[in-house]
Amino acid sequence: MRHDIRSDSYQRSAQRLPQAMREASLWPFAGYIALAAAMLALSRIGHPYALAVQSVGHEVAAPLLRTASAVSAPFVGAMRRLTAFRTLVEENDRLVAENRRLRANETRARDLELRVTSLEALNKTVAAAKIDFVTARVIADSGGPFVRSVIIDAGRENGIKPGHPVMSADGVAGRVVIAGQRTSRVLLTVDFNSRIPVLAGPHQARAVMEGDNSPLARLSYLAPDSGARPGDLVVTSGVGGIFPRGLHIGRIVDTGEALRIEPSVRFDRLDYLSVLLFDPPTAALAGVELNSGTGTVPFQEGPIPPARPRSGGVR
Amino acid sequence: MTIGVTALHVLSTLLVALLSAMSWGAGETGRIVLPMLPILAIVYWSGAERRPMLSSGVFITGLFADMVFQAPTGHWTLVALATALFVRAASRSASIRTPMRRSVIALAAIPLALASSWCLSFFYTGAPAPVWPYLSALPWLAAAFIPLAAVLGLADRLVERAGGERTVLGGGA
Repeated sequence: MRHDIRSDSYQRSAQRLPQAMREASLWPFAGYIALAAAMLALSRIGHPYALAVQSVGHEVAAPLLRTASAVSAPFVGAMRRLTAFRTLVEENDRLVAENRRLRANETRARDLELRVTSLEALNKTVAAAKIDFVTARVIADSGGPFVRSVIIDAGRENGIKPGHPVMSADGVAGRVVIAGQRTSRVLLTVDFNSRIPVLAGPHQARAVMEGDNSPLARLSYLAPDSGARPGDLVVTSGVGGIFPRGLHIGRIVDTGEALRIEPSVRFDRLDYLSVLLFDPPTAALAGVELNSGTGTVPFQEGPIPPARPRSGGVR
Repeated sequence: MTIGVTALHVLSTLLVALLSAMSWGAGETGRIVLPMLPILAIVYWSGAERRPMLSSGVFITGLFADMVFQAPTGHWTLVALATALFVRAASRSASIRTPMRRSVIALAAIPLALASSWCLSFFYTGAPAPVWPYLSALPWLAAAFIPLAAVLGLADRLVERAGGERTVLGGGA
């Protein structure tokens, strides 16, 4: 009997719910929610349809973002300066310490450069390849809980292709994942989907930098006897062909649980980024035409290309 | 008339999304707060008494948010739809409709939106995102809702003055 009463109650509730939803015009929501859930599931599994939708979305949003970026530039600049004021003293102390360290390293670097040059001449070493680059402005930030990417206002018409490495003045910022006609999407090194083969520590031990959307990236596959310690530099290894060897990434830090990488790039202050028009050496072997552009930077020897405004005639 | 109101809802939300996607140089909390601003606009328009935001409008603006915030397609769409559904259902069931009541519903919708965003990111990445940025975003979003509602209420009044129908009675938050 008790069961029957419950059953009746359930039935009445079940009848009332669709009626209430109909009255509140909520049924269309259910359809759209199912559609959006399907789209998210397709994105999750990397279905070509989802990738095509993202690509089309990039093309649609890009001109709007460019326009909004141009209109809102003074306000964005003022806001960024305002937020920078909060950490001005801390930032100044950091820069003073860094400047002191860099001055000490400058003399040593010049000495090493001379020695390397003379040794290369003695050994008749093949000169390092030159890599062209273009510099572009960041026009949109991804925001959100789990995607770390930015959109820059340079694209295929500037010679940019998916896979090209992207640098800021401080080091490797990421790589191009979508190249539109005039804009590109850059996946940052701390993004969940980013994996970069690196060299870490004094013995240049091989490892992999894995982004996990936190400010510090994971340092995986590092041999226990690598000798890597907190404070050691981390640079790209060149393995895999996406990134040239020797690009600065950051330093090792110890979180207490594991060694992680603190990227040298300030991802919350990205303004201009340089895209290296670098194709893997194997692409040249396969007869793929290499890019040509305006800027030229030697990799492995010179400093990271400094960020330059577009008005400087980079594009 | 409906077209004008729908256009107001959709275009104002798209504008908020577009401006939120600019590179403001915000920190970790800002990364959570900024993409939520168009959701706040959806919360405001979904609580309208006369003509709440259409589900199709919510879907379109959610998709647009996915595009400009470079999120996986469907993420912000789902967050927007779930939040709008909640606000609409809560607004319908409310017997007294006052600005205070709307504010309470909106304040209840913000944690729901944040929670749904966290859950979806967990589903997508398979790893739980840090909870602290979400918690610290809560007061910022509650504070941001007031000026945003004031601006949207002003736009609503301007449309009414131009011959359209005002959707949110009482104005402001």
